[in-house]
Parts: sequence; C-alpha cells; structure tokens
Amino acid sequence: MRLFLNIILLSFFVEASAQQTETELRIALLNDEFAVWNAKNNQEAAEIIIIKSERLTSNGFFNESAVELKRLDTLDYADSNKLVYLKSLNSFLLGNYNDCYNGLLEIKDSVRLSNTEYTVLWLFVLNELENWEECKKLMLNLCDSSNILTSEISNLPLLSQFRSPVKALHLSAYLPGLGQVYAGKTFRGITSFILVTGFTAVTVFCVVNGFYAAGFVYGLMSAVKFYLGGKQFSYQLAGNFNSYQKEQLKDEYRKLIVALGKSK
Amino acid sequence: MQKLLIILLFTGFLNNTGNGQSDLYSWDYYSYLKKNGLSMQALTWLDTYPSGSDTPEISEKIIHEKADIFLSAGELDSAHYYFTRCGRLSDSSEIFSAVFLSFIMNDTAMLSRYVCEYKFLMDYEDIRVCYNILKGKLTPEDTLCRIEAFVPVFSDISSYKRKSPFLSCILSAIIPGMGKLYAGEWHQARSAFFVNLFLGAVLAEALLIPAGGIYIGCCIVVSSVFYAGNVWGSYVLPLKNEKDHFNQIHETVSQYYTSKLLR
Repeated sequence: MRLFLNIILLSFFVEASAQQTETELRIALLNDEFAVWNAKNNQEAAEIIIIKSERLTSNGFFNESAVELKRLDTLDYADSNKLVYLKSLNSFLLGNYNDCYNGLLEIKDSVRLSNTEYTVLWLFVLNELENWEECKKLMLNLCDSSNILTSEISNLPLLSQFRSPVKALHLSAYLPGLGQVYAGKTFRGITSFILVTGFTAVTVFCVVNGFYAAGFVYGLMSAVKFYLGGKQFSYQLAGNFNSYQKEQLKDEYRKLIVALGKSK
Repeated sequence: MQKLLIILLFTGFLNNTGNGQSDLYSWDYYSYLKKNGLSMQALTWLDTYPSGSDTPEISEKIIHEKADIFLSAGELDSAHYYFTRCGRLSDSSEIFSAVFLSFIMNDTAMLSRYVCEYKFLMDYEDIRVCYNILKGKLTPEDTLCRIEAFVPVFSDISSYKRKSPFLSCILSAIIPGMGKLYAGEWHQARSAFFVNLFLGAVLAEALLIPAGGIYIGCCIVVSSVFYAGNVWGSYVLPLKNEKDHFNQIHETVSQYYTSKLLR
C-alpha cells in the first residue's frame, strides 16, 4: 500500500519525466554537488541543494533527500515555507505522518491553504492520520459551489466499518466459526465449524466403538486444536477487517483529494 | 577587513564560495565529497573516473578508495569485495580492516591468504583465535584468550560440552525423546516423548481390541514414521547444535569487530 500511495503522490507532485535511470541519476547528482562546491554564495548553494533534493525525491530516494534538506539548516535558505514543505513531503513519503503533520503546522494557515501543493499534502496527511472530520470540512471549504466534486465529498463517511476482535473471539468460543463469519469471512467460518464438529464426531464414534486412545489422539486433540485456533483466527480476522475498511475509506478520500487538487 | 575574513571563515562562508575549480574529476573535488560524507557521489566519482587517463597506480588507488568508502558507509560486504581486489594493502590499519572483514564475511580463504602474506598477524592472539574459529577447531589454548570482548564468548565455550550423535540416537531408540533431552532440547524431548507415547497407545489398542487389518496397518505406518523421525532427529540434533554454537561464537566476535570497524 505504501508503494501505491507513493506512486499517487509522486504522480501528483512530480512530472512523470522527472524520473531517471540509476546511472543518469548518479551522474546528475554528481554534477549537482559539483555546482554546490562551485557556488558563489550560500544562497546559490542552497538553491542547488533544493534541486538535488527534489531530484532524489522524484526518484524515490526519500531518506537521501531528507539528508540533503538537513544541510540547508546551516545555509539560511530564504524560502523557509518551501523548505518545511519539502521536509514534510519526505516525511510523508517515508510514512512518518506525525512528523509531516507537525512540520506543516509550522507553515501559517493562510499560506498553507493558499498554496495548492501545501494544501493537498495537508489533506493527505489528515487522511493518513484518520482525521476525516477535519479533512472533509477542509475539502468542502475548498470546493466552490460550481465544483462537481462537492456532492461526492459531502457523501464521504466519517468513520469506517468496525468489527470488535474481542466480540469475534467470544462468538467463536460459543459456536466455532461464528466469529469468522462476524469478521466477514463466511467461507472460513463454515470450514472451521465443519472441522471442529467433524473431529468431535470422530471422537464420539471412536469412544462408542471402544477405541478410546484413537478417539483421544485423532479426534479430541484435533478438535481442541482447531477450536482454539479458530478462536485466535477470528480475533485476527476481525483486526484485518478493520484495517481493510480503514484502507478502503482512505482510498476514497485519496481519490477525491487528488481530483480536488487537480481541479485547482 | 581582517575581522571580516575571520568571521566569514568561522561561519564557513568561505568554504562555500566558488572554489574556481572547473575540473569535475579533480582529486580536490573528490576530497570535498569524502570529507562531507557524500558517499553516493564519491562512489559515482570513482566509478566514472575517466578510464583513459588512469595509470595502474591510480586504478589501485581507486579500488582502495572504494573499499574505504564502503567501509565508512557500513556496507561491509562491498568493502570486503574491494579489499579482496586490492593488490597490496598499504598500511597496518588497512591490513587489520581487511582481516576483520574476512572474518565477519566468513571468508576463510582470504583470511588464510592474509595470514600467509603478512606473517606478523599470527603474533596477535585475537587473529589467531579468529582463524581457528573459522576453521571450526578451537584449541584449549584459544579458550584462554584474554581479549575483553572474547571473554564472555569463551566462558560459554568452557561450559559447552560436545554431545555424541550416536549416543543420542541410541537413547532415543530406547526411550523416545531421551536422546533429545541428552542433547539439551527439553521441549523437543517432551514433544517427541508424548507423540510417540500416544501413537504407541493407539497402536496397542488397535492390536488388543483387535481392529481391522487396514486400520492396524495405518497405525503401524504412522507410529513407525514418528518413531523413525524421532531417532533420526536425535542423531542430527547434536551436530546442528555444535554448528549453531560455532555460528554463535562467530556472530558474537563479528559484532565486536563490526563495532571496531565502524567506530
């Protein structure tokens, strides 16, 4: 999912032609640094380091780009908002959403909301931090009345569907397979039920026919194993269901954020 | 004017003003890249150094530089690769770096080569011990090694007792799981014992009742498979434990040398 998100973001923020082969990139970086070394003053060096950082970001080297941006701390780069934005973008692409959020807060609200790129990144980070209420509110504020996206944005839910893992565990304890069905996996629930009842039936059959040891080893032990495993599995499945639903909701928001950004 | 120059030097401004160098492949530029920790660019510089203008000395210097850059970047396997391509190592710090890397990378052949080429290395207790660790043959004299980082490793060795695979096998044949207990694996011993016990009980029940021929046949096959597996596993376990033991020693000592190299 991270790779997919990076592709969406990069396609929005960076032109497709900015990506280079590895050799081209390495040589370009070498030439950039040569220009930094030959720079007449700090400002010129800073501008070139920004270009170098953007080049690294567009080619997926987010850590290296962040290291380059750190060099600017000693060079007094004039456009501090742009610097903060680039650092925040790298944090986002590295999955450090809290750092990105805190970084963007350093930019004044008026500036952040007047620049499309800053705003889109802000919306993306609110989405990733699951702050859907604020995200939706901001998206609606950005839409003017003629925008065709207004109705779609209004219909966005503020919460994803939720299944309690503890409830799934208890349901599977009462009836094998019920917890899996509650977690959205009907087929697995039915399979679990069949396995547990089947092995229980084997146990009963063996005991009735006098095969106590066989009933215990082949029947009861297997039934207990599948029963306990089924309970644990239903807990895990409910957790997976919740993660999946959150991702689906985030995806809906992402598509509309990109569409809104492009319309601006 | 003098005060202004001092201030500018202090703030590093002069370092960033134009150096006036127009040659991308000057060694001054390379030194700048190395000094500022720009490993990626330094490596690109070395890789793209114009091949028409280099002498054998420069080619050798480039290999040494690459080894050094990879070492400072912590990429030990690449550093080791370039050290093996060096013709002659220039000074003792390079020699020791190459030796430690050979040990860490488990390269017995290169370590043997260095020991043959640079005879003074065997005078060093830790290198002699490392050589024996890679060969898998520690002597009692080696375990007396008093180098600080090796002491916890060798205190483990002195308490380690080699187990006989044959004895382990025979014990498991008599009582399932006994051989694994002898080899020091309590959990495996318990599992093997109870699995074989239950399957034995099922087989005994099938014979005593008696059940149908096919059922008895299946019980015999299943019990035999687990019994044979238990005996074979007991034979293999001491050999695996000994190999793991040496690997653990190697890993502990490698961590010591890694921290020394990356300091």
